Amino acid sequence: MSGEFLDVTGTRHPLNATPTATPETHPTTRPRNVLEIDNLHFSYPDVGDRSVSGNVDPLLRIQHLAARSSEILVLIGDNGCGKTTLLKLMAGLLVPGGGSIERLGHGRAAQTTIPILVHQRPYLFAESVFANVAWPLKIRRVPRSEVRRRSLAALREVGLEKLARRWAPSLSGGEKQRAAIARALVLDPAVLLLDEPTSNIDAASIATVERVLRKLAAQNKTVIMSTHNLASAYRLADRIVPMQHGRPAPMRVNILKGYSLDPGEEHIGRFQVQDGPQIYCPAVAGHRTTAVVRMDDIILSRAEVATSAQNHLQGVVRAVELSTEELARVEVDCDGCTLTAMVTHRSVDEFDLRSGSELWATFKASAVELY
Amino acid sequence: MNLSHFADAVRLLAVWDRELVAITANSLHFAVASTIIAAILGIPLGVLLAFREFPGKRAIVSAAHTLMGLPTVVAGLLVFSFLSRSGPLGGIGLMFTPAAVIIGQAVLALPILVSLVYSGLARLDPELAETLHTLGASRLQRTVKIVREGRIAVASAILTAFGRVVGEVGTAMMLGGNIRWYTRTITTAIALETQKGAFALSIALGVVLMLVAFGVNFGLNYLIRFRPGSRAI
Repeated sequence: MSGEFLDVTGTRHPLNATPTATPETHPTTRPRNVLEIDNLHFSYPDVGDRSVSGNVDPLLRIQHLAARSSEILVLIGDNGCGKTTLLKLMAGLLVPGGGSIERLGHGRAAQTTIPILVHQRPYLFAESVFANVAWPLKIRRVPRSEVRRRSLAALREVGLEKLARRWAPSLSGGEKQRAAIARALVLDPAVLLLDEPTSNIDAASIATVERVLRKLAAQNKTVIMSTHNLASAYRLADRIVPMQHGRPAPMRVNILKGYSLDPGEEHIGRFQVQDGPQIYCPAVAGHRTTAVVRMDDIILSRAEVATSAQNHLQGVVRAVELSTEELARVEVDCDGCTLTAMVTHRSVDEFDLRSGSELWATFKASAVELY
Repeated sequence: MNLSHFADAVRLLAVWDRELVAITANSLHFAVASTIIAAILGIPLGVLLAFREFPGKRAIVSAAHTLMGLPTVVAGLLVFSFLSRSGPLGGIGLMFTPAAVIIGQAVLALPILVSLVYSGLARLDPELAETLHTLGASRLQRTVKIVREGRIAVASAILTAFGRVVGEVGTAMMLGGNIRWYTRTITTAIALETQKGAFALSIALGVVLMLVAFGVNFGLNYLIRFRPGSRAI
């Protein structure tokens, strides 16, 4: 399932986009597309499902996918669904069987939009950590003093400056991942690709990696990563693209950025959606920045209904997308908080849902997960 | 052979006999030169085999593995057929010159280098090549870095090839002709002197050859344990 839909303002959105509030760390500059994929398909030689007609079904097929500046785009999905293959295609490590991957920009901008991929188990050269990070600059004949300055800055960014002299292969998994990210950061890439950067690493390294990636997005860079770690995906993502059998699948959750309020003695918590309303959620200790609500858990009604659900938000329909044969995605703007609900086609007809319709969105506090 | 021969051998070594030095220098010269030639050809080929897929790759790898045990006299015969007066390159007049010995020994060393470099580099993490690519390295920079990453395997291959050619006698004898002061090597000299009953020089040369072998072995062991210290930042 892929394609685009138009919202009420006439703006085109990728079908799999999950509109969310803009995180507070993001810059004010207008995001622009830096990477556009159209009609892409790819198969490894001698691999692929052969249909009855004898045609090879490509391992990966993407009709359209665009990545914007200052965005963290997260690919999720089971093993073998094509996440790593897609990242390698974006990095130019694999050649597509067809279609295009266009890096947008001109002159130096186009140069810096060549994406750099950090592998799941990154290969570090058999030398010091510093030498590893400095190498991409050395091969570009960058002056020695600048190599030193930029390499140390990148190591500082990932918290490894004290390990600069360490023998790189002796680092732990989390340290290796951070060193590999530093080695990519020295090149100041406009697009950074990461294949499961938070798998098999310690909690401290996960926190560091997430902080670095958020900072990159805030610096107008694009981060595209794959992960199995849903908590990490929800915390980081501006947009999540689920992958199934090599195709982007529709996103089925709303990701709301903001911050949790201290529940104190209350049995129910509250979450302040950024530039939006407060919603009720389970009382959870600690600072949380992301609330996740499944689209299936949101009930739409023409009038406010009295139920046991705690969250009743009034809103206006922004877009209606008939996503499958049975279900439609209805995007509702609730006082600055955009929620998407899944409803049947029958409900669309019965409620006469269309752009501009006024609705109430209702969901239980327990349907909200905090990350 | 008796004890006096050993005493004479010690004397030859102690005074660093002129002929002993010349023969040793010849041996080292031919072995070093042939190993360098084989390395220039064999290392890039080994890298290519380790990181590229192309038609005929398996055949080349199999050939390299098989030819590691190429008998020295067969290598000598092969080169002889090219360089002898009736051969296709006979007009150049290389037979019984140092160049002929170097070519013959390079033929012996080449499959060793290709085979060992390929085996060593093929064991490197497959993500190395992708990492170099994504970091924007040129083809030459990638090749140099791959060799650096596999430096222990590459250096071991070089030393193994050197050890093989410095101790061989077949090609040096067939292509060099064992000409005194010109193409005589440690091994050809030992063969000749022993037949003549001049055991002292044979024993002295044998000691030198053993020292070279020990040196190569020591170098290999050092490389296996080698880990460069952190450079100044």
